[in-house]
Amino acid sequence: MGSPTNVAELTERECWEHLRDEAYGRLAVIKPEGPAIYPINAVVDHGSIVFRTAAGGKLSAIRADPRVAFEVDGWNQADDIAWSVLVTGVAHEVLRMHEGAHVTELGVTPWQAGPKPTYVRIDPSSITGRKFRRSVPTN
Amino acid sequence: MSTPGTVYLTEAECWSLLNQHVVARLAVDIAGRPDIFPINYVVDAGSIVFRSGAGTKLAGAVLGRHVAVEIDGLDVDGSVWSVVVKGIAHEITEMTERFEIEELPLYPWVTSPKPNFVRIDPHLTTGRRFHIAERDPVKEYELGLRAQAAEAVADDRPDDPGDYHPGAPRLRPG
Repeated sequence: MGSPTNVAELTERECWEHLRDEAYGRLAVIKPEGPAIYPINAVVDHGSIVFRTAAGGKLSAIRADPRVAFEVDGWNQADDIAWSVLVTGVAHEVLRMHEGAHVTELGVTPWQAGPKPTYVRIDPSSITGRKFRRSVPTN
Repeated sequence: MSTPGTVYLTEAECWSLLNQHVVARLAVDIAGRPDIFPINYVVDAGSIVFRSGAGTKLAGAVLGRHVAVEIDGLDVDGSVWSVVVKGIAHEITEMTERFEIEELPLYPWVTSPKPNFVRIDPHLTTGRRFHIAERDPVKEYELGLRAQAAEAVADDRPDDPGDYHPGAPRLRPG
C-alpha cells in the first residue's frame, strides 16, 4: 500500500490560485429540507467570490440563511494530480450602487442564458484545499 | 421557473450520466453549515454508493441525514449539464449487502483507509443541460438595477391602495 495517505494540504495561496484559474464551481446552501448544491460560474474579487443569479432557489436560500460553501476541483492531466478547494463563508447580495458598478467589470459571465441580475458576494471565513496523485486500482 | 435555452433532463437521462461518471461532489449539513466533499462513487441498484473513513467529519455528517450529490460536465458540442441527486445517506452494515458492494468497481482516488460504505437512497433526481450563452454583463446589470429600483418603488407604496388615484402622478424609475 505504501504511505497511508497520498493527500497533501494546499496553502492558502495555492487555493486562491486555483480559484482564480477555475471560474466554475459548486455552491452549497442549507434549505429547510436539507442541503442543496448548484453549479455556478464565479470570479475572485479582492479576497471574495462573486457570482450572479436570478431569483429562485439559490437566492431565497441565501436570504434565509447566508452561510454557504463553494467548491472547485480539477485534475491536471500532465502530472495526474487531482485537487479541490473549499471556501466556506457568508453570502450577501451586492446592492450598493458603487459596488454594483465594480462587479459588472469583473466579467462574471454565467454559461446559462436568461437574466441573472443579482450579484452575490461570498466573504470567506475559511479556505482549504488539498491535492493528491490518484491511486490506481491494483487488481 | 424555466430559463431560456435550458433543457431539463429526464430521470433516465440523469441516471445514464451518473452511470458514466465516477467523481461527484457531496453537499452535507454540518451543524447547520453547508460543506462540500468530492467523492468517488458508483451507481448500484438505483442508488449512489461511496466509501468513507470511519469516525471522520464526513461520516458523522452524512449517516441518517439528507444529502445532495452533484455531477456536471461539458460536452464536445459545447453544452453544459449537471445532475443533482437528493436523498438520505445510510451506512451499509449488513454483511450480505456489504459483500455485494465490495464487488463494485469503486476505487477511491485517495489512499487513506475508507472502510465504510455509504448508500444514498434517492428521493429526488434532477438534471439540466444548456449551451453556453453569449452575454453583455454591463447591459444586463443595468437592466437588473432598473428592476431593483422598480421593486424598491413598489415597496415604498402605501399599503392602502385607496391612496392611489389613477390620475395622480406616480414615481417611476428611469
